[in-house]
Amino acid sequence: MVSKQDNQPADVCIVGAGAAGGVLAKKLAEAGFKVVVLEAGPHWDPQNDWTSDELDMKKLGWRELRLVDGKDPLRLGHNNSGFGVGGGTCHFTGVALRFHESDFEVKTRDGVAEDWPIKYKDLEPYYHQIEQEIAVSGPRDFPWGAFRGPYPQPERNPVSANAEVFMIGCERLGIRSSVTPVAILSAPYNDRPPCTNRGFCNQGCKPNAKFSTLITYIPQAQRAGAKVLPNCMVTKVNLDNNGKVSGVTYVHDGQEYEQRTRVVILSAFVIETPRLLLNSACPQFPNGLANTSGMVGKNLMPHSSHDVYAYFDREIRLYKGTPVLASTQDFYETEPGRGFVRGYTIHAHGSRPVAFGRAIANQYLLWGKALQDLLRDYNFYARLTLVGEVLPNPNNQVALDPNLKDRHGLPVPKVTFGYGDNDLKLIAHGVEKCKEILAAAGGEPRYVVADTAHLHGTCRMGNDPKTSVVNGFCQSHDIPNLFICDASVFVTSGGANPTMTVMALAARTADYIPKAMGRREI
Amino acid sequence: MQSFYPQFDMLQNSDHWDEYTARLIRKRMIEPGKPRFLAEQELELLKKVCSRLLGEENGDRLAQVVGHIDHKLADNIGEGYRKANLPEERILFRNGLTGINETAKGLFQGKEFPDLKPEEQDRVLTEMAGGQPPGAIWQGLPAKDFFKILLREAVEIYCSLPGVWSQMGYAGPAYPRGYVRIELGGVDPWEAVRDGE
Repeated sequence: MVSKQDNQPADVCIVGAGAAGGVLAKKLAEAGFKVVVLEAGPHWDPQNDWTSDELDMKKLGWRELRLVDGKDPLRLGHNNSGFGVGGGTCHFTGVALRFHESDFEVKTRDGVAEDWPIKYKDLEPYYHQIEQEIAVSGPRDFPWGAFRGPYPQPERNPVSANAEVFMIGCERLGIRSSVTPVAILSAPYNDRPPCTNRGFCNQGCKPNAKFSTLITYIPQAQRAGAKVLPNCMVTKVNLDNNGKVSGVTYVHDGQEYEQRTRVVILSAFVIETPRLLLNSACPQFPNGLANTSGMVGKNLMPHSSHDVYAYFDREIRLYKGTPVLASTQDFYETEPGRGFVRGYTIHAHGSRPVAFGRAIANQYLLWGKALQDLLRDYNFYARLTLVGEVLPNPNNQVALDPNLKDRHGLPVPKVTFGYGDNDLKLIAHGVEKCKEILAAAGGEPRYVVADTAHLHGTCRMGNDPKTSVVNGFCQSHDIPNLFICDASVFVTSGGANPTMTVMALAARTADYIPKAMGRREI
Repeated sequence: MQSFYPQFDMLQNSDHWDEYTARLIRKRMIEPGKPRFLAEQELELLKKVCSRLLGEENGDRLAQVVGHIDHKLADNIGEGYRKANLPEERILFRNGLTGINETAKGLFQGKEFPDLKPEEQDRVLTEMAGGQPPGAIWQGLPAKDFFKILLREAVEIYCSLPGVWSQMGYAGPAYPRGYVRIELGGVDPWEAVRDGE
């Protein structure tokens, strides 16, 4: 086994070029480290590789097989994971929300789950840094959380008809709503144009108005000397005789290579990261690398993300404009009397023909004439989407399937999930609110589609090595030169889109690694 | 499909699409030719099933729908995810199609699905959606899961056909042009407008 291209060991090898991997690569390369990024998927060229087509752009989702199981099997693929340089940021809606202070203290405040080993204050400077770097557009006065704006760019204006309807409904009910802070430009920035309201955020932004690490941090990392190697699937993290990681094994074009390195950072997302650790079991770590706690793969959390569709007697045209442009977090914090803890965000969320038809037809088993009627009325539907907190449960997990192997001969991941009691009560409350808002705006709520979004957990952070996989800086308790930096370190899911928190954690880890290396702690 | 926009043809916008999107959509509308994974007979059966599932009788559209499903099975680019109780996609489709004929025979005196009247075909599909249809295959293959996957695959490609887009009043790809009048009641000149407005 030899390294690809040259035989140079790296200082830092990052597995996965998504939200976290991009930020880490840029910051560590600019700090003077020799950085190698290994990405399983291709290095996309938005102009040539991407189209304005839902079906074709499913290619932005992870395609390799995963088994889903449990009481509420997850819908994976394009729904919540990325494939190729940029990862999930190529097809996320661009929602740029911070977590709230309470999200980091769930056990203290609500007596459930665990507290994070870090506080909101620890991430605050990094939230700010990332917002500035990617030029988030947002309101002057954001009504919720510790940060109320202003954002680097003015809020998006106008908003879509779907967002307008949502805001009208909220106003009539006395619910506060706001234009959503999004990583989508409202004004030109760094040779990138403002949004054209093409509406294809989830299919990849061709004009480059929406941020992705593909068009920002990754090229910046390359300019600072980082090597970004696409189509390289990492199959194993290797350990030396001193109990430190020595590098990774990866497959490119059917050929196996080794990348030696001083530090490994896994940023392969919530399924592939624990899978890689479990597949890297060795005599020193028979239950999976860095897994003396037994927590690798445990506490998988999606967001509950039910969609509520209402029929209006006028056209809403869900295909037009940035899909998410208005939101409320009035139901984000725990409130006594609701019968459940924690909360959720509601977004007005556009939808294109494939997603619209598929979701409702499948949930309600609409076919034949009923399906035809649904599609005929497409333009008359508005849609709201829940982003609801899901509490951790060790039975919800990523494990290795004992029977099925992928094309590299590695066990495929088996992803087991079922909602808990609190989750279901929260969903019922959120769905009811969505219906009330749509009805107040003059719509007739007709369909509720059960869905999930985003994934978190499976390698949670904590102060106690017996109950967590990494410390507050995303450093493995077991192996000092191994870092895990993506949404798998989340202790709780929060009730807001996670990308900003993932990138803030990455920026903080990128700050920590050079200091720790300077102190010879790694 | 009934439509609020019988005069609207979204393909008239195609001069404004980027070349990659235009090429892709053109290719989708070409007659798909001989099946690459399914046998001719399986493809014909699938076409009859999709006709009832989608409520669609247009032969060109049905050929595009089943052609797409066949090509996807042939290309085998990866399922992304699969419920743990299901076989791989190719086996699921092959056995599922066999099962549809078994159910048809069980319900209608040995007749196969394509030989049934439309309302009888609907009865077969209703039984499958209910999860307990007659047929030996369904002992080892969850009929409702197969029904849902078949419906999902059929709807995905059906809702990707320009003719269907036009009927839905979906103005379609908009790069590089974008949409300008996105607010409530706003309509760009190239979008669908209801007849008489």
